[in-house]
Amino acid sequence: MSFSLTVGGLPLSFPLIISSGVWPMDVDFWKPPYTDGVGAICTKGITLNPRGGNRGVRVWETHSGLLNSIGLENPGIDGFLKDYLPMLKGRSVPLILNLWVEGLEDLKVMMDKLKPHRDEIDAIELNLSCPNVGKESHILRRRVDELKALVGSLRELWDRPLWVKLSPMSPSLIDEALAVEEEGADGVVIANTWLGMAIDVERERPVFERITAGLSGPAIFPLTLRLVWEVSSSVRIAVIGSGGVSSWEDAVAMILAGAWAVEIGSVTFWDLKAPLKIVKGMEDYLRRKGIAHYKDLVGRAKGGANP
Amino acid sequence: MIFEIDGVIKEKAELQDGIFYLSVEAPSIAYLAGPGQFVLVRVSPSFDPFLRRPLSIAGTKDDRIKLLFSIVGRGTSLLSRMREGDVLSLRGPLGKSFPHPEGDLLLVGGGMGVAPLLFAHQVYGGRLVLGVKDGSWKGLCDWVRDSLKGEVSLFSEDGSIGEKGTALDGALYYSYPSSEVWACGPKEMLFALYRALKGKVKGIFGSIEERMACGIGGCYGCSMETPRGMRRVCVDGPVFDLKEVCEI
Ligand SMILES: Cc1cc2nc3c(=O)[nH]c(=O)nc-3n(C[C@H](O)[C@H](O)[C@H](O)COP(=O)(O)OP(=O)(O)OC[C@H]3O[C@@H](n4cnc5c(N)ncnc54)[C@H](O)[C@@H]3O)c2cc1C
Ligand SMILES: Cc1cc2nc3c(=O)[nH]c(=O)nc-3n(C[C@H](O)[C@H](O)[C@H](O)COP(=O)(O)O)c2cc1C
Ligand code: FES
Repeated sequence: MSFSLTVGGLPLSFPLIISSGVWPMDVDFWKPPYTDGVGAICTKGITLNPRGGNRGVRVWETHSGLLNSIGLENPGIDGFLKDYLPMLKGRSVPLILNLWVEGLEDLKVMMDKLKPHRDEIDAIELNLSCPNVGKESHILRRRVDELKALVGSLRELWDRPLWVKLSPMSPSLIDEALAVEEEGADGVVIANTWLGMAIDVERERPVFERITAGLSGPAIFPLTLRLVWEVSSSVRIAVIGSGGVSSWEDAVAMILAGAWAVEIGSVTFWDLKAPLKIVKGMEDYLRRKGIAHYKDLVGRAKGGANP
Repeated sequence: MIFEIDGVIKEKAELQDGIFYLSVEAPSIAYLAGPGQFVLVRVSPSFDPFLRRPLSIAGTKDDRIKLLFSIVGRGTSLLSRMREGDVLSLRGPLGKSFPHPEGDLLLVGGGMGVAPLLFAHQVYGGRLVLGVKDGSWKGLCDWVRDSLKGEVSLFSEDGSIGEKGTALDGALYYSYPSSEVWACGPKEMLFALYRALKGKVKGIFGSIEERMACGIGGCYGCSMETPRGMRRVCVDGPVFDLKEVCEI
């Protein structure tokens, strides 16, 4: 039984990645036993300057999921390079740097700072999909040519694996995914949290200061599955699924729908050993089906070609 | 080291209407835990409710940890329906413990805030001041008094249990320049306690509550603004030197 595969330019020993914003950047959690079953880990979204994040309530439980409005609290690129990356050298899984940029200027400054650390970062995941910062318009009304400019510039500045994480709220997700491919990225991550909100009935006010927040967890799985199905039918680069995967059945379903690998986030709140349990479940499934490598499952629900 | 294990409920008691005591077999957590630390408890075997609930470790005995909780909403209500022999998934021990005391320990708890202080008393002794609202808290008060044998002073706002007054009144009465105060309760109570006692005692530490998702410093869901910047309650706390949190 084999799980190792190069996905979007990044060699993974398991097709399960811990998604951005749920896992500590403390090296103890980047080693066994916490990494059993884990193919790679995404850092928290890193911005040019440090950010304190949003005020007020930040996490709110919903039916089989949660809304979050963290607002990208992070140490900024300098803080990350000084206080976290050196310690993370002791990790036992690849590091995917989740980057959030305000625009082309930010991007260039950040990439200058990252240049000396090229070999310490296994891949970049450009986050074009956080719903909790800036104006919502950046996701809902982004022009594809702006996205192309960003991805194209990053591609010129970064020669290692490059993934772009898109929003499920995008009005033209397939066009965006095609643009990402055209600009030379190695993979596209589908997707991020879905825009939602909650109202505190006692206070008779929205729960979150920004009113809207991002929904994640088991509740969103079928929604994201559809997007993975559609995008993977349109692009040839690797599609990585992110949204609601909470069991081995979900992971297999997403791979059958066309994902080359899946990211898991919120389910780690529920079960720290979720990665290992999912991998074991997939292993049993493959054995039962007599399939030697999981890659033979990719897109198989469409009855079409394998990678 | 942080564990995620299936504990087994060995003992359950309802101390008063809506307040429960659990003793849970959880060896790895019990052996490592220190006063002030907490666990994240899974309240349902399904994904609904989805988030684990933070509960202080109220004491340890051999391979067991003690939990004390009140019914607040759906999660704690589900937890209250679990029975002896049931399996309880626990993540812990989480957060920072109280630092080793440098003065005479005075433990100050408001209502359910007594939970981590019971563990502190188990390890370091000291006087416990427990403040409650009214006579409906008799069950918890009796249980605390019986478990601690002596070193407990009870206060109630309506005077129906112990002295009439709040936990803060009790803290003012029992504190000396040589005291180190450890407190747990609502944030407003901790801040009031700090304002009342600062400069009059050796140190004031408080255990603070915030909503949590991961409990291990990954999600920044429990971040709190302090004069010294953002702090994650689950890893930088829940125990804070209140000077760091209240002083500008
Ligand atoms: C470090 C720490 C230690 C705690 N120790 C104890 C203890 O020993 N005994 C005890 O009775 N209670 C304790 N609490 C409070 C306890 O976690 C909440 O009462 C409980 O989470 C409420 O869950 P619920 O589903 O019943 O309520 P709901 O209001 O339905 O919960 C909805 C969501 O809000 C969260 N939430 C609600 N109130 C709080 C709160 N006060 N603090 C944090 N999250 C909250 C829940 O965890 C859940 O995610 C502690 C909290 C923290 C942060
Ligand atoms: C608390 C929290 C913080 C997150 N922070 C980030 C982030 O910094 N960058 C990012 O690209 N995605 C972030 N996400 C989105 C997740 O990486 C993931 O794409 C999303 O939650 C859907 O997957 P899930 O249902 O498996 O959690 C965050 C999600 C949560 C719940
Ligand atoms: S609960 Fe996730 S960082 Fe504290």
